[in-house]
Amino acid sequence: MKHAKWIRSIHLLRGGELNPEEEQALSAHLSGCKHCSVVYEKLQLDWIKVMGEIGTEPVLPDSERLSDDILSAVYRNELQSASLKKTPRSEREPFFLMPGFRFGLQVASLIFLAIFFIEQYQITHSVHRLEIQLQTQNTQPRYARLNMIPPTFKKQLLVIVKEQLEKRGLPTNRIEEIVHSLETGSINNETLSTRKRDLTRVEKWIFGQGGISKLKHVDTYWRQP
Amino acid sequence: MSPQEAKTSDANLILNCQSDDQAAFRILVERYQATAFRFAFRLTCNTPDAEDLCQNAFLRVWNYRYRINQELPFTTLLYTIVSRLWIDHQRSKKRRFFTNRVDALDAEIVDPNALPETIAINQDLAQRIKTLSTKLPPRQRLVFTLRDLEDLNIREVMEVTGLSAGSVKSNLSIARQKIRKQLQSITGRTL
Repeated sequence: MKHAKWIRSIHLLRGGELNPEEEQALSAHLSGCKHCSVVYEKLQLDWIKVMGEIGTEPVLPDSERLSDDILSAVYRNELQSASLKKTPRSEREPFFLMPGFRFGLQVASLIFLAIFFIEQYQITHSVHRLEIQLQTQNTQPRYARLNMIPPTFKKQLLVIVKEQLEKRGLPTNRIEEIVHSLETGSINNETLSTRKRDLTRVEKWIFGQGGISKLKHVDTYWRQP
Repeated sequence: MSPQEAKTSDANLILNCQSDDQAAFRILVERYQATAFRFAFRLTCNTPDAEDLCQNAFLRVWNYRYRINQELPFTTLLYTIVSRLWIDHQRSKKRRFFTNRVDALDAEIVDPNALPETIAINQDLAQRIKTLSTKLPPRQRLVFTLRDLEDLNIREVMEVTGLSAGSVKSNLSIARQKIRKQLQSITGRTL
């Protein structure tokens, strides 16, 4: 064992905290180690000094006053707790009539109303904004996806659409008009007002089982990120 | 009064306290207030703080009287309460913004009825304790005060502090070494 550990034990030896075996081992070490025995002797002297300085007992200034203070504090405490216990639960006013509860309720309703009005304002505002957006876009959202067909497939699709419309026996000018609007991606209100029925059919056909799914390489295209 | 008699008597007094007997509590207070004050003073180094701790400790004893096990020594319970209150006091002191200012004010408060001799002894002792042990962390200081100044045995220190035997011994050894170093550093000046 190093000196530091023995010195730690020496500190504990002073108060008798070591067990008999440890004490015996330390005594044996002290008889053989000059360094530790010097520390031990010095420590004994130091300790006498420490105890001489702080081992004195403090004097209680006024024991009667202190006990009176303690008992009066206990008495006050008892009185306080008795006043709290005084009113039985059955005699107390119901909780919803208590001022604290009523105040809380008022605050909560005000907050609820404020949230309600804010929500209402936000909904009205967003609806209004959407209306404005639709008006400015000049496009029905329903047919927007027709305008979003990627150019890779547009040519193939237009050929198929043209064939299909010809099979249905539509006049050539109507077919040209629809194909033109699909090609340029400009399905506006004017086109809709005149060719709404045709466009609906074409849209159903394109996005249904007959259209896009039959195009070449369409699967690989949509798989791309 | 032998320790056994004192214990029995304390147990009876606690039993009476549990039946809301304030006279029994008064006897307990008169019997143990000096012990509580002495321990509190050694921790706080301040008479008003020690008296406050003492008062709060007895108030707590009264408030929790129904939970006290009268078989256990009353002194151990008292030491435990005082030490916990002191630790709480230390923590709240740390949180206070103007700690030093409040301490300075506390130090100036002197009981007008106290004898000048008593005041001088306490102030001198407080100064010496502060000089030697104020740099110790609360746990080491508590263990040192209980073991070396209050002369409790290791088992009692364990019960009061809630520490293991190893921890008590280690804290005690470190505290003693630090105090010795502090003593060496100030020898020839203050002491």
